[in-house]
Amino acid sequence: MRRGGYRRFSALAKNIRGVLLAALLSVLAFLFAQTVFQSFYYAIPTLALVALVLAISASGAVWRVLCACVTVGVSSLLEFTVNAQTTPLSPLFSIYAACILSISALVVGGLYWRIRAQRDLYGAQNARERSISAFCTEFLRVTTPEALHALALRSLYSVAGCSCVLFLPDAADGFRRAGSYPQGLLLYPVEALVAHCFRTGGEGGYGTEAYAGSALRCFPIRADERTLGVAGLLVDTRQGLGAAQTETVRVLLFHIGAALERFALMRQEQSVRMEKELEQMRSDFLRSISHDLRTPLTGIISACSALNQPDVPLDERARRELIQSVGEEASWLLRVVENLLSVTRVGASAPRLHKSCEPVEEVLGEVLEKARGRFPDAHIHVTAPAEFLMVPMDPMLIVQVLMNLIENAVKYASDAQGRVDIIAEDAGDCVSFTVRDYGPGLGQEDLATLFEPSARRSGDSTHGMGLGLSICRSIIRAHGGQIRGYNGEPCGAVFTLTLPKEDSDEP
Amino acid sequence: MSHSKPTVLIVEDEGYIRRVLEAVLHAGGYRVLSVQNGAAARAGISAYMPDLLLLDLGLPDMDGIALLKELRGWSRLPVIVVSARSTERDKILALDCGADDYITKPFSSPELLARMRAVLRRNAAAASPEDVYCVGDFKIDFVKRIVTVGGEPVRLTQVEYRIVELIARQPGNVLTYRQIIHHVWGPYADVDNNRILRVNMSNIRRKIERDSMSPQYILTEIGVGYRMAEKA
Repeated sequence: MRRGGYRRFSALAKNIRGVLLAALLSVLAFLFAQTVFQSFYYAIPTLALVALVLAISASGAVWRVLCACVTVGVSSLLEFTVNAQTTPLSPLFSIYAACILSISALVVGGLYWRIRAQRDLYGAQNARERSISAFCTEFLRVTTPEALHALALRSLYSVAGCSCVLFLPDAADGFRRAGSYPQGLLLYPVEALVAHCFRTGGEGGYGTEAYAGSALRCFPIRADERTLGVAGLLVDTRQGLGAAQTETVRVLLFHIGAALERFALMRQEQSVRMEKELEQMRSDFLRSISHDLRTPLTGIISACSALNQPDVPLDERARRELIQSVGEEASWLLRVVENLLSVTRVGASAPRLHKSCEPVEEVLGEVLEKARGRFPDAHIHVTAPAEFLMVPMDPMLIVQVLMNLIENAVKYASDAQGRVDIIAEDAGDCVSFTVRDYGPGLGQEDLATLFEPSARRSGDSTHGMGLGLSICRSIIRAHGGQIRGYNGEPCGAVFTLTLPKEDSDEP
Repeated sequence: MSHSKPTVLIVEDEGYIRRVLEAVLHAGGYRVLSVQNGAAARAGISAYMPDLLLLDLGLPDMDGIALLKELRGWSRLPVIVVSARSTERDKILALDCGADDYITKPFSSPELLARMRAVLRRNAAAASPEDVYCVGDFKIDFVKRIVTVGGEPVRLTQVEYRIVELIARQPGNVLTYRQIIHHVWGPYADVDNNRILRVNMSNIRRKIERDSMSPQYILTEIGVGYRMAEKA
């Protein structure tokens, strides 16, 4: 209240100053004409000049008229009292002249002020449009819905000049508060008002018919005839919300709606694309496992039928060998199936990972124990960092990945005394695990397609490793890590995987 | 243990696995009873008072975990869970619900028999707690609170000793992280944050194990908990 009063008072003071200035300038003009030109003729244009200046300087019509009257009055008074005898023209003439000049000055002043007001209006509108278009460019640039919400709030605040809050629909057919500017804005309960806006898709709150008592003015954010959200402006009720401001807010909200819609469409498109990729992956897997499963199964079946034939003479040693091969093939099958099960765990969505923080040394210990059990002839060396390191992971899956890599290493480097190195290293913000063999290494043509489900290391006809490696890659990616394979110096294949130390999923 | 054969009740709905188990256990010198579902298991437990229960978790009429919880309400009957569910979560759940051990399918028959012997032995020994536990070169004297490896005393902190003691009191038993934290740090400890336990275990291993990467005495059940090695 106080500030408004002060503003009004200062405007008044300015206009009173204008009137006094008018009087002073009239006197000065008169004296100037009198002394310099010794004649009143020249006083007339001087007066006209004064009148024009006055007309322009006062901001209100009433004050301009007052200025003009004072000009005319002062000049006539001087005319009558000082120059009554010497003027060749009738004093009335100069008064008429002053009046006409003043009136024309008034008209010009009025026009000037109107044009100026228009210019200000256009200027403000231009500035608003510029800021809206700047924000629109930014809307296109943001990459996450959260960033868009924050930017939308910031743009609303800068355009409307009042605190604002954004509500978005939630999954349960209601709505949630998606943010406010400034952050953590406190509001009286406005649920009913916001719900009304969501329901009707119209405006509500301050200055409208619905919930007029609220200080919050709610605007729907619409795109494509759907209400994507509701923006609320906390209006300063002493100033209200101007029509131009309201219009600007509506324009801005239209753009915000378009940006929100864009994100919705993008999400939709992304899910379609992911679905496609998943479908592709599934069929790749199916193709590849049917091969992987058929080979050992045929072996098992033929071994069983041989064992079951009473008329085929098999000595004890041959029988034992057959049974042993059945066991080996069956455990290979089991491992394939376990790999497949873990893919169903990581494939669909990340939350299926059962992550926990595990010490690197315990994971390596587990891998070592398993590997020594499965490959008793291999020479497996483990190098671990001296310090205690914990990494968030799904331990079963990571052990499985490392076992897959070790199995490959043992299989392909059997002629190099079966030496396999497992090296864990602290690599800044992640921990790297390297499995290295000293065999013939990877062929150039294999390097590119190493992790594709259908990949098959050249010269390998029995058990594909492509499936295993592609599963490794899915598991590591689901952990937010990376895996790559390359040839070591001077020989041998090297597989390195990294796992981030910080868990990105955790809030 | 009595001189008669110990009785084992197998709760398993898959006929093939049941037949294999029966054959293996018969050969192992046990008296074997088998049922196919939870309701029959309930009846069998009260009717035959078996010495050991081999429980499959995926039963047709109820969840094995529910049966285990119910059983633990009134009996200390040793239970070994034999299940195809191999994620650490399932193991933790079963162990926290009172299972004595957990074996995942496929299992090797010698391992199963060894685990069964261990559980039965523990159960028999539970009534008369020993003053000393030793395995290989590792020895812990519960009365004097001294841990030695190969005759050399090992200096453990208070917390480290309590962890080792807790695990060594039940050799062969897997203790979940939750159980250990609860016992060592008390009921108000944050059982979901096991970092402090893992750090302590890393230090313990550096003190007692020759190669902490392949521990001999305190074994890791990855993602589940720790287990003291049993006497050979």
